[in-house]
Amino acid sequence: MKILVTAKRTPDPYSKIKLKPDGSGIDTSNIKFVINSFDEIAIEEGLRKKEKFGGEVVVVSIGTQECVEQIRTALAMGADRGILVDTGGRYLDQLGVAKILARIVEDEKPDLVILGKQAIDDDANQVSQILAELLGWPQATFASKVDIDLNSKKAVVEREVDGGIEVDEVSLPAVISADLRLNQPRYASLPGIMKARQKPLKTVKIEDLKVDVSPSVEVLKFEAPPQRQGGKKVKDVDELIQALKESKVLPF
Amino acid sequence: MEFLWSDEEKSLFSEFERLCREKIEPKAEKLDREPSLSLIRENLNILADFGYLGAPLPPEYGGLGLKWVTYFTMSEYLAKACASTYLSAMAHTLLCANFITMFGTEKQKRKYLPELSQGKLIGVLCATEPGCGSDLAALKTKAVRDGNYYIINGTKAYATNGPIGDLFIILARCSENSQNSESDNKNPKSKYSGITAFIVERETPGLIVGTPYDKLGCRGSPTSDIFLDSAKVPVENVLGGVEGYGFKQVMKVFDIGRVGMAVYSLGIVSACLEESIRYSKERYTFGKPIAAYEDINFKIVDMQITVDMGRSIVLRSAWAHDSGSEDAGVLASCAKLFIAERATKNASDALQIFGGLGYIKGTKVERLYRDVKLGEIGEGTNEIQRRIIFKRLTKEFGYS
Ligand SMILES: Cc1cc2nc3c(=O)[nH]c(=O)nc-3n(C[C@H](O)[C@H](O)[C@H](O)COP(=O)(O)OP(=O)(O)OC[C@H]3O[C@@H](n4cnc5c(N)ncnc54)[C@H](O)[C@@H]3O)c2cc1C
Repeated sequence: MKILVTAKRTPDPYSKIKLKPDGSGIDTSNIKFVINSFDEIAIEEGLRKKEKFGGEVVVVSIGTQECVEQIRTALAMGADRGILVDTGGRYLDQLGVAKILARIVEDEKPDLVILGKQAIDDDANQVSQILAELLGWPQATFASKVDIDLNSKKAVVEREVDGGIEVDEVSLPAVISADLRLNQPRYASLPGIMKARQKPLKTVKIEDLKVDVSPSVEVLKFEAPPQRQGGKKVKDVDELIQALKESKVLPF
Repeated sequence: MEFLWSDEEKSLFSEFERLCREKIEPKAEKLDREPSLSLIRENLNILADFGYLGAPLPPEYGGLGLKWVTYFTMSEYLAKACASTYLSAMAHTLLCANFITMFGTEKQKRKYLPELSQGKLIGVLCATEPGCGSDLAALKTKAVRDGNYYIINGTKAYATNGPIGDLFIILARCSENSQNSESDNKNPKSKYSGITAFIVERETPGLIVGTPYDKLGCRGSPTSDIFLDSAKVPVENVLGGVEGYGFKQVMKVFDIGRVGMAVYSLGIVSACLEESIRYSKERYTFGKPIAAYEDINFKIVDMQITVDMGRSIVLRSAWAHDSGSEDAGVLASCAKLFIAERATKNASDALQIFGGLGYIKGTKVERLYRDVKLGEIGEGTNEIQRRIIFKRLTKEFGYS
């Protein structure tokens, strides 16, 4: 089966984020970039399904030329080929990203698209849902387990919801978004990294896709969360309750 | 001259750094406190799966053919994450597998290197004996030819990986009346005479592995004696096929191995530096973080200098090995000596920065302080490195 997965370039979750002084974005000069952690899980799931059923895993990244690094990492993990949609650095909102992916899906005709449930930078959690809508495909979001039956062309997906596990059945092709507990992504191995260089990687210019990606969302400003205020020491439980009431943590 | 890594090398470094940080480092304290043969073996398996154990070995024999500069640069991450695991991996790859790569016969390379590369076999080098370390040529282990076999008798000491070893390279002395005229044997009175390296498999009758030592540091890397009680080794297991070259061979093996030991010390200082910076910002005295005090700053700066200068000289000696430069060996001695001496002081400083806490088990710098000392001993002590460097000087000035 043919599986399309995504690899968004995001800051390493361990890196310390600083904003540009004018608030126009984050200062990227000293941070390391990695594959979005949830996309990494999506890639791993794609690879496992390929190992089980055969076929091909195609990885897509949308952004500047620097995203080649993330595509190569996915190829080193075991994906077969990569597609970079070069945006030339322009801003895209989630609808724009989903439209681009929908165009790629039209060309590639995969049996399954697996994405991270959200990107760890903007935490939007929208692309997989919009993509499924644009394609008119069934969707199963926040997957914690995916079982595929090739004969009936169906996927049984477990989703972690508040009360427990919800089990959905979707027919293929479908869009699935990966949650944290779906799997533990593998490490790219040394031979994998060395092989990745020879794997095909196609760059597509965003203009050539002929989709309208003019954003409907405008980013006004980035602001750091307020600094944590120093705490206060209390003598005993009574004083604690009093303090909690004053700060309106306790409603009564 | 340019210092540039390819994109491939960069992703190799970042992926290996992550593997070491996420999979090896979290176990380092436990491995030190409760040394376990299964845990160190598990770590070596993780490294083997990544491809690290065979990384610098030739691709024809299952390795990945990485350049020494690349291999040693990535190795620092492992040494930093867990010195014990690094020592075991290093001894396996540089002292055993690379010995066979450098001097093994075609048949020996085909037979052993693929499995060593994949970590299916764990390798050991047994040079040192209870009676000799620095003066290796004084070794007493004897090999006597008996038809198609050699019968080996003697005791080897300080064998890294001994307790988990599958393949042992044993240095022993063949009897004087050897026929080989090319080798050191031509002068039977020479103390190097007859020294030969043998490849000995774990199942060989007469090879007995001692119990692991209880060590000061590097406790997770198992070290033991190896006893040879009339061990029967087939003639085709003479490393390189010809008697009498063992001493020269092992010296060449150490020329690269010493870069590995330099990286051992470098990784530890790098960990000391990270810990020291973190703690000096957290710990307050007299109303200020201790990072505000000059004495603390200077200690940290000294660590930073070791790391920066250390990396430079490791790269330089690795590069000398890559390009087959004649001074590669002496550069390795310089690298090992320079970093190891500073590292011992740096680790002591790191512990000092932690004050009383540094003296308590479970504090990372306490372990680093014990681990670091091996850098001044293994693969030739500081004193021996100075001898090597001075010999080279005297040769240049025409004294010998
Ligand atoms: C954890 C650990 C792992 C090891 N792993 C291995 C291994 O895998 N394989 C292996 O073969 N060996 C291994 N060794 C042994 C190590 O290489 C030796 O311990 C080292 O070479 C020193 O030898 P020695 O202990 O016999 O010291 P000695 O040679 O007895 O030296 C004692 C002291 O005298 C000094 N000295 C000796 N000669 C001179 C001189 N001419 N001038 C000035 N000073 C001198 C030395 O520097 C040292 O300070 C290991 C050791 C340790 C501790």
